[in-house]
Amino acid sequence: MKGERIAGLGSVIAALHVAVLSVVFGPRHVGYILVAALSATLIWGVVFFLNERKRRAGFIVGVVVGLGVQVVAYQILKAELPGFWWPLAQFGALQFLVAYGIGRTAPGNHHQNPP
Amino acid sequence: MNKTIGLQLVVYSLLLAGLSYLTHHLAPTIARPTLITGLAGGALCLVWGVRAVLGRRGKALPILTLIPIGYVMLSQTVLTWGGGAQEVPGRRTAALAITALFALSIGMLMRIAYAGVVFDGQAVSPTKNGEAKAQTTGKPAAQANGVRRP
Repeated sequence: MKGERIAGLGSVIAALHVAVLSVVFGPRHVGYILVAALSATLIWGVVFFLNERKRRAGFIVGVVVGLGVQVVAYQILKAELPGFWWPLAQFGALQFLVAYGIGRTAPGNHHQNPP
Repeated sequence: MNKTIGLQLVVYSLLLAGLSYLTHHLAPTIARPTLITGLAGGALCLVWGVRAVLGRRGKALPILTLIPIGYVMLSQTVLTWGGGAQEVPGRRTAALAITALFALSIGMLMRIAYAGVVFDGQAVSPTKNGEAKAQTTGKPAAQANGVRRP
């Protein structure tokens, strides 16, 4: 449990750095950030609400749906975004941070880290 | 989160959607992000508000919705007040409405974030079980207990 907690903490710190650096140096497109944050809230809120027992399956579904939303958003805003990797990293970091936040407060998960 | 905050969240969501539509109606060229944010955020806040009214107490989802709304409203406030080379009719009124939306969003965020938090100076009242229960008047301890300062 202690190793998992340290790994979770390290992942959150890394994701925070990626999100902040991508906002400072990379894309600051408000529409893209809005899509990343709101879709993450919706996807992970529903996943943790529906899959309180089958957490691994819910996690995989959440990642797949999140990637689908990212592809659609990127294709729509491609002309206004610089490159491919910065927006992807920003989207992933925001999704991870939101998922971690909701996972911490999800019912039945008061003593565990999210996957 | 309690039912009162749930009702406030419902009212806020309707205000967000309505004012963002008004802003887009006033200045369609500069307020498109505001309209999208207002409609998407308003719909989500409405769902979270109804959930709170129905008795669910979690506040992670409304907070995580209000953070990006606040971010977008901040950028839109700066852009509309800052202006640009071309003069857009209705810009000033739209800027006022967006500023009001930004203030409302931050206020709602703070309201939800601090809901249920007991501060050091807050008065406590004993319950039947001998436990201390915080008063929710929002007044300082001295005022809540009827003590006047010299």
